[in-house]
Amino acid sequence: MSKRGKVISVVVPVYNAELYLQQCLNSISKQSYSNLEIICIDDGSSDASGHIVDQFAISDSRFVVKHQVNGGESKARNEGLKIASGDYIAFVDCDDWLEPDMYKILLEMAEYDDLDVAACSWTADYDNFSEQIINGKNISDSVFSAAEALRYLYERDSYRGFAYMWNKLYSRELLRQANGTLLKFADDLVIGGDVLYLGQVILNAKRIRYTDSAFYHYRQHEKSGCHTKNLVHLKDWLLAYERLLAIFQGSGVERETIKYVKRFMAYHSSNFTEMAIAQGDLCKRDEFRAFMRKYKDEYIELNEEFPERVIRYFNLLGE
Amino acid sequence: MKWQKPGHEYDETYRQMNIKTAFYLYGAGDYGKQFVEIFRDEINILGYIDNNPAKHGTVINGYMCRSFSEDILKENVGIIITMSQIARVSPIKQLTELGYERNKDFFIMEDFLSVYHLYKYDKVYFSTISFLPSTVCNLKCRHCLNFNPFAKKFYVRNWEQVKADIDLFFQCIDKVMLFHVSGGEPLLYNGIGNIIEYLDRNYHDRIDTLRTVTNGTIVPDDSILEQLSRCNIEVTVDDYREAVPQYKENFDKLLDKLKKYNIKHYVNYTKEWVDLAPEKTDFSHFSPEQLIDHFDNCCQSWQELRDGKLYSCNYDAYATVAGINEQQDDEIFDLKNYSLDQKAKLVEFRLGYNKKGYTNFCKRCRGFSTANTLKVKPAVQG
Repeated sequence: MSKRGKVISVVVPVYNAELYLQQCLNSISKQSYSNLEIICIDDGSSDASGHIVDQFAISDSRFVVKHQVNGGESKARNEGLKIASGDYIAFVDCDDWLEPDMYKILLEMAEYDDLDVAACSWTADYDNFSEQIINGKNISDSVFSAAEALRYLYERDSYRGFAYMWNKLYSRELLRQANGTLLKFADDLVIGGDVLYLGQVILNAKRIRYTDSAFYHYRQHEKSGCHTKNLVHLKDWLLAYERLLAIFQGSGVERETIKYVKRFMAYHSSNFTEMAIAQGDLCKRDEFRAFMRKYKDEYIELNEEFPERVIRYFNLLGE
Repeated sequence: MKWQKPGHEYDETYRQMNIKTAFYLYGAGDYGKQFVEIFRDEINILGYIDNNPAKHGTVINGYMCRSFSEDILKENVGIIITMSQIARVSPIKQLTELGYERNKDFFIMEDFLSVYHLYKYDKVYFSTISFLPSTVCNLKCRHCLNFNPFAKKFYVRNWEQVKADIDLFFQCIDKVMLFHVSGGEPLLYNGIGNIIEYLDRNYHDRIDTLRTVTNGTIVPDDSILEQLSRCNIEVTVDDYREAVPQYKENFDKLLDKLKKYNIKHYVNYTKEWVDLAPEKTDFSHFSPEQLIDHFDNCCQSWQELRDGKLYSCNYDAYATVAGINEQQDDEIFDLKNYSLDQKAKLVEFRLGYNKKGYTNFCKRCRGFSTANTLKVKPAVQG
């Protein structure tokens, strides 16, 4: 049973999401577990988003709102973390929404098994349909360790349900650093701060559990960071992974997992190369190709069953 | 149970249910899931309790499952036992020994379902009903619970009788969680497709689960499978391959066909049957009180619908059809004489109340209970 009084701080970076924000914040404020601190950091929105969060704060005292000059998602999340006082921390993207029992169940799981991270599956919401994510291979039904969780994170083909940082509840203890403050997002990166953060956090977790129930709705549309076509920003994303790799390599993470991280990077750099070619940006194409070359071996090794992927890879490399 | 105050047996139970602000469901299996589907928006369900450690900490049907511990039972939190009749014996014992009272601190799902709907919505909601179009079967199981080995001939009903029973049942009963078309071997019945189709077409909104069963030795015609595939029906395929290996090929063929026609089905393998053993049981010397105890300790909770009547005990009714219930049973509820002011009595009867508090067949039946140690291998022939 959840002890009365456990507070969940929900950090929501808000940026120009007036179309979806109402639904997002409603779904948080109407959670069946109500002991929440809902922290909205308006990252210099130029649409009605700032006004919408203010309205929520007027009618619901659990909302804490801060407006700041646009500085990117990571900076906004860091502002939220500075304010967060909860026993547990969660993150929500401002265009997504939650099923009403999400935090009730994740908190029950976390408290029952003394977890560092309680995770759930999610639903991909497209304009006209929704797809509940089914894992290709089964994720353990018991409590598992970081080593296992990292495999679930980076063997993405098989374990889509475990990916991402927003379908999880993190204990404050897990995020707390030696100096008492919470681990910060790398705010020198425009995008990719979240993938770096998630990798770091999971690496430190000792007790993690996952449920196949899908409580988080991830809206699929062009605006989200990982769908951007801005080549400069995309490079940040690869840099985030390179930093993560360095951390993993220095922390004795299993070789097989590291190979999967590299394959992941190889795959994304190939996509970015494709975009650079389509945009006629030869300079960026060559930068992305450099990443592709670096992780070519892992990509080939872990795609043995998919010769068509390897052929595409070589074509994009121009080799 | 013997009727003491017909029409008001559950007044106090409902009052106790109403005092509760929330409930745990004890049993996170199929029964628990079915119960959740009906009650998710009706009552405050805190989660599941289960005795299987592998389920602890997992989320089932949107609720977390935990182990039983008395700390979770705060004042005004009740337990609803959502397990099969046999499985629930040990948790009931556990709760009773801890000082919890049935119908006050904890409730059985069938009682909860029917009492809640009767008192709150004035509706008659049954957990189950068993309906047999015929006793015809191709197997000759020595310990058949329809008592076929004792019967001189099979009992077969015509379409008019079948249809009249179904229509009368739904004139009196608002909803049923599980409508079970049983046998005999239902797939041998000539009009099985028509029965299922009739039920599904006319009463789909009154039946939560429509199910039939087969012994896994018959491969029905494609026309019947075609008919079933158009209906919302589940088929339980009993796996008797150990006892009747000669039908193994048919078993595989049947499963292939059910898959091909996209008919929802489950394979049911059971290690042993309970033997009710009427041929070697004589409790005729029991006092009425002893017989009432015998009936109340029995876990069997099925009732049969036949000829416009509900039979207090399925097995009593089968024994009557098989001709081994010498003193024919009068513990029946005649739906033909039913009027709307009898709703509470009808529900009470379905939950196990009758005039005597037992049935005549109790004198020749070992009981479907954990106390009955006569266990036999399923489907042994001859």
